[in-house]
Amino acid sequence: MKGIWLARLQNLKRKPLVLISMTVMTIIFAYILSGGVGSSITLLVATDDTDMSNKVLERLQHEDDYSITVLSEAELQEVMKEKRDKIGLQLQEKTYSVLVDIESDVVRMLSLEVVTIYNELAFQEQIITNAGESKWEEVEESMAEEPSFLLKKSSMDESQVFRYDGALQSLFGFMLYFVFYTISINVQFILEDKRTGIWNRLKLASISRFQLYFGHLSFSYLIGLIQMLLVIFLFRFIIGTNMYGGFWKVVVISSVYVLLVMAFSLFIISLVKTVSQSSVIISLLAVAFAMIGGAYWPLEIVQSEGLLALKWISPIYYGMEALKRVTIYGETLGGVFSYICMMILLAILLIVIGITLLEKRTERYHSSE
Amino acid sequence: MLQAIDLHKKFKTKEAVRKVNMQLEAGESVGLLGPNGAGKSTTISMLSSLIMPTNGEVLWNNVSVNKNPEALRKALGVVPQEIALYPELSAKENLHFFGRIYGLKGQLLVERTEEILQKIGLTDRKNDIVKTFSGGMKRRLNIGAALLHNPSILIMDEPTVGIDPQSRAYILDTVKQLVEEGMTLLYTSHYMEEVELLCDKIYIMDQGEIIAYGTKETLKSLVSDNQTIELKAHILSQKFEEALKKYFPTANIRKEDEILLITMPQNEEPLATIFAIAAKNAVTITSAIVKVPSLEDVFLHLTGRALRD
Repeated sequence: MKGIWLARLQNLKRKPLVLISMTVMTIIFAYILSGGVGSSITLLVATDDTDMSNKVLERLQHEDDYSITVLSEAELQEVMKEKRDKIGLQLQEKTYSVLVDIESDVVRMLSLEVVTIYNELAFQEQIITNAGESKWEEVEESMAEEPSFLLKKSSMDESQVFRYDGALQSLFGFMLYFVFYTISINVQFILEDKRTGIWNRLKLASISRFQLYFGHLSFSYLIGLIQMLLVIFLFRFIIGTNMYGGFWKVVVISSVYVLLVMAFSLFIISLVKTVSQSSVIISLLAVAFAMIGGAYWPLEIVQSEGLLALKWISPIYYGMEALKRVTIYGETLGGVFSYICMMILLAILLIVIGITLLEKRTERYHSSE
Repeated sequence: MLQAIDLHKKFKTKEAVRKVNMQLEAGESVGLLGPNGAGKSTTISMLSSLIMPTNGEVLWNNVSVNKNPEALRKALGVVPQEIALYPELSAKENLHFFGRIYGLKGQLLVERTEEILQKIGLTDRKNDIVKTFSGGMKRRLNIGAALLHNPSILIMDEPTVGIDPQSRAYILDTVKQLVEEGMTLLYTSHYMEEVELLCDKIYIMDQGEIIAYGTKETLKSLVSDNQTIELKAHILSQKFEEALKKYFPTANIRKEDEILLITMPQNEEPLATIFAIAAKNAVTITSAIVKVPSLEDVFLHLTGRALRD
């Protein structure tokens, strides 16, 4: 297996264009179509300069979800008259106003957040006024150790709420789409090795079939994963895309998705005779799967029942849904367990079918002498 | 010793190989001759343990290869019909890769690679990428990759397909040298002249079956022990023909399209006599061709078809 990896690495060194171009294309498409910025919500905030409003502002500035520009009250009123697509927030001592043209889910979440900060600060102030600074420290410590109750913020009928984050939609969509090509081009080496007779040479050198498949598939898997991780890291830590605290969940789901795409590519090459046939099929399927799987646009805006029914056959659908749920919807990995399981089960099924068909094809190579 | 006993291979409904029996003794060079689609590659695949026979058995030193392929694989080098090399890697990198696969490492791998490069005449091009090589150079490297682990038996499947005459001659010389060094060889081809040049014993295969086997001489004797001399002259006189008949009473002498055909046993050497009789009868011979049966004739005789049909 080490030998196979070495040969594949040398091949990659000589022909790195596929990996580089697919990674660069993911970055370019996701960056351009997401508007070139991170997905934090831009807030224009003005305070009445009281202690409370300044503390609320300070707390908001610590949140990753918001990109805040501080203005005077007059400036805010002026800007909001002209730029009606912005979200304005006017903070006062006892209350606040959200200046916005259209009520949306984002505005509702912002309001909830601001109210919570006001309540927490009021509670803190009451303790300090009545029992002193040291008592507050005591309370804060005990709350951190053993919270007496857990406040969970959620909308009613969460599954029905449509949340859209353009930056993540573009990032996940293009990432899942382009990695399809990278992985399938790598998996095609199996077909090429079988066609050229290298496969048989390796078998004659007593390399087991398991080692041969494992060597090729693990390498393809790793290349796909590296591409996805490069993109995820770049967008999170350099471009600053907001992943709603779901960064590691995104990494875990990506690793499962790569497995599914690798298995799918194996299945495709088991159905065809040549690399060019498999390239054509994979190109067609990748585009189709991206469309019906919600990579190009959110499936929530699709009206056609027929198109929606097809989403289940698209590997991209499972990846896309799971990634959106652990980020935009704030779900845990447990919450997307069904998608993860589905991806793993499909991957196992496709690997088994793929290898079985490929082995039968090996026999056919001999019969077509 | 490699032995095939009643090998039979069926792919779905197609019977690719039927009841093949073969034997390769150590140091022997054996040819497997047959047209495309005769079942040669399937037979080789079974002999080299790549595919399992539907029926029958392959034995290596009397041990079943079907049950225990490892012993044969260690001793076996296979040169496939395809160019089984990585086109993006250099000649040296390819040899290093296949050497490593066979467990060679360190200094041994380096030395063995250099030896092989020298043997196949690619030392000067060792660092060049294989995809820039000519067909002949690729074929040579294809052979080199099969020799790295120093096998004692070499199976070559049509190793000269699609290359120029110069490269072909180089490859045949290399193989001949290997045979002279004691390598056991199984050489398949549909070029009978290659098989004739390299092999002591020949199996002729057609439509999945061995239809004849033996030494070149034995096989050719299946067609005839005779030779035919074709004579062309300015004027082939009746007198000259009669003089020949008188001198060679057992020969069959006939005229076809102004060519005189003389068929007689191969053990006779009649050319000098024929020229003397011609001179005596004032006949100027413009060409004389002595034809003995070839393996092509043997195949034609056995199947009614030409080898390259």
